[in-house]
Amino acid sequence: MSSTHSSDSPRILFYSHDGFGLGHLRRNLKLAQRLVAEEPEASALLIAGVPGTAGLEPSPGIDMVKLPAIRKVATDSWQPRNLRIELARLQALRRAILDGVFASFAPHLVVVDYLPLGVWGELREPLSRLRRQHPSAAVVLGLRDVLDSPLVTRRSWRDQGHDEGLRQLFDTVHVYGDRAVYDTAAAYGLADLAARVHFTGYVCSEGPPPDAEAERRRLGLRAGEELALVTAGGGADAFPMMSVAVQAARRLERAGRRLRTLVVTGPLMEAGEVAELERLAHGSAVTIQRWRAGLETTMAAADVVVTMAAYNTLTEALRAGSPVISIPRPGPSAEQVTRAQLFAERGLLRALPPHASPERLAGALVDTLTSPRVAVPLPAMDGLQRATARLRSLLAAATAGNPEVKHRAGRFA
Amino acid sequence: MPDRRYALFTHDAYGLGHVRRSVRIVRALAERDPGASILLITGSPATHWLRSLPPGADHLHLPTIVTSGEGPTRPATLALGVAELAALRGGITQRALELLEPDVLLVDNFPLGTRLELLPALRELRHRPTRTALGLRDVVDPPEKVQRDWQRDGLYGVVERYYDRVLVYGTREVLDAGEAYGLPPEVSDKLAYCGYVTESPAALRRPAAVRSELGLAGGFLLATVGGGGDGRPLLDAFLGALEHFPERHALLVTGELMADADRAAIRESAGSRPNVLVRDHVANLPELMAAADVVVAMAGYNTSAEILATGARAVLVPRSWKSGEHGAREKSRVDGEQLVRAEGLARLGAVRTLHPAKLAPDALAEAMTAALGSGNGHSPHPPMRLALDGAARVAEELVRLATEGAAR
Repeated sequence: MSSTHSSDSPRILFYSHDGFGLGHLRRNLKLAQRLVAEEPEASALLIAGVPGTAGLEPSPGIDMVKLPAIRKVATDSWQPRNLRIELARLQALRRAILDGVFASFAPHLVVVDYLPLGVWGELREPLSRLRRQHPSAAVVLGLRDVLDSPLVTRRSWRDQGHDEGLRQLFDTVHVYGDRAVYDTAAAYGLADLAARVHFTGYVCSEGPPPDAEAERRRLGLRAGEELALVTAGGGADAFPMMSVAVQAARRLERAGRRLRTLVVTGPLMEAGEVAELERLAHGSAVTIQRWRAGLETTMAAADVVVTMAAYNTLTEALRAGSPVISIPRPGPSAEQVTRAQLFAERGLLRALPPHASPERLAGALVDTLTSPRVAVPLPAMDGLQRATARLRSLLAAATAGNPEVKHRAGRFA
Repeated sequence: MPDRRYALFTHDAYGLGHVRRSVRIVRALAERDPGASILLITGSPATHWLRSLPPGADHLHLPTIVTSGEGPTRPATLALGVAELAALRGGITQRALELLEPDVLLVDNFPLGTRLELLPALRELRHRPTRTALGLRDVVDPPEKVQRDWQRDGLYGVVERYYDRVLVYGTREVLDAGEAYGLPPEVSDKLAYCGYVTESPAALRRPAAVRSELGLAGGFLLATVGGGGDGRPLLDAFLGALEHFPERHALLVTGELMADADRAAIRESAGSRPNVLVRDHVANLPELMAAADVVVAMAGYNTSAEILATGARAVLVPRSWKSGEHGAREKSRVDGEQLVRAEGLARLGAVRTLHPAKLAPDALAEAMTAALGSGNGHSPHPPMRLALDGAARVAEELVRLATEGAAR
């Protein structure tokens, strides 16, 4: 297939494997939207493996290739999510599609989220070929602040070839975090690449300051009523935390607290679990919603946000300025426990253990609701702007196709 | 028997009809072949319909290419040329099909996709065990347009060489595809009429319940215009026609895509009359059809099939475009596909039809009166031999093809 393009508008390819939730895709989408807003001639194509329910409304300049979905079952282990085909066939199918996308889209810039070589190393071939055929193309790895425990990630990256792939195939690493909170590069063995690693700050949604008062009116809150918002992104594994939250809220209601609780389950929670939450909430001041538009506004309107410790929801809640109580996911990855602890150490939130009881959460809620709000300095939250600026300059060099510029921009190997 | 694999390729035509039909077929196929894996390949932006895919099914989303009526086909999103986008879509599809090696591939309506992008994939599949089926809407387009397009793009040869079966989502009584499209005998032999692909009305609530929810004691006249983007003239005529039925209640559904100014005008005009309800959107259109005395609608595939399935008495007025819309150069132009469908159904006595050039309150009222006096309403039209279990029959054909392929 020809990969020469008559129109030479800038083309950016974003990859995320999305073996569990929607976080990687959401982060890539924010970056793509900002990039295309600043570079109206550019086309951003997102490759994602999200479950079938989570589509992306195409918008000018942005579209998606959704691969047949996979499900993460353990570290470095994934299975077909829907199709009942052998693992080897699904791997080959995804590789073939990726191959086709790289060959015909011929990106100037590739942004890979999290795993340098993708699931099953499925990016190794396409990235190698891109390197050979389009030496001026730039390849970026984007990492969230915390991946897993350093030991687990380092072992996996060594065994699965990500270490080597990163050094051979990538130009630069963007850490969507703040070195002052966590030194991602040091933790995951990227010290030798220090000159190529850039901390951009946390990537979170932009938008005008939300109108918290209007949202409180929309929710029908009366004077003196307090609002607790319970949310956890897609919600695929949020049921344990949310059922504890509903029970804690009922406990406080019984104790006479004028508390209204809004639980937003997220689109990925199983229908049976949603029904169980509704049963638990029956007859209380707890409302269960599957999905809610403008959740950032609701966060700003809340007196407290109860969540797990996922990257997107946590940074959005901090940006909204509401007090946060975190009950992190217990595992298998240490990511959320680590992040909750790091943020708690800086006074950004109250962290409870993964299996905290309703009593314990109720106590933390009372604590939070009765303590004066203290303005704690936030980590760098302008990652979207800074990462986009870096992507734009890489893109400019790549579309100019000048190997000299490229050379100065540097390559690891 | 090993678990079978199926792939469907559904193009991204404007509107939701194609994806809705494909999802219904996937559901019927999963029911008929419960161990199967089914991959739906589409670039349609209407992804919310894909939420109802059954277990065992997944979808592969391609970058979108939108076809709009007669206008040029253009990339909807990416700043790429049409040829580049077609190459991108074709390349992905070919590789996916080569690796999935489905037992059967079903392609929707366009034998080579929207921009002929399927040719490499179809060529490759001829060397493999995959059997192929082309699914055609009851009326693809006006016959002369189909003949012109198929001649121009060499599609007669393509269907003869690359397809094992041609499944029509309609009946021969409405349109004889072989004759209308001038199919050579080698292609005609592959035809199978499967009937309309639509929801079964079995699950609908009783008319009395639906009427009482609307606050009505008795029947009513219903006008629906699909999304409503171009529905204003029909609703205006309908409101005028209501003068002839002063005793009857009426319900107008404007559709989500109607322009605000048009919707406001309709609401104002309706507001001056007693007994007239206006809704922007309803979730249970088939129930309303089943509960109505007469349905006035355009003649799109899904609306027509729902009318047939609910057995509603109906007047169909094919869509027409004013000059300048959808590339129309003449003063106005009728949607030929809808005209052929409406006339075919009227010939069978299943509906009444009114040509859009004659659309006026009095003429519409006359057609509605005639429809009110016909049949018993509220029961499907068995004498019309209009098969309405299209999805199940398409699924049956696909399973049969898979079995043949395995035996080959």
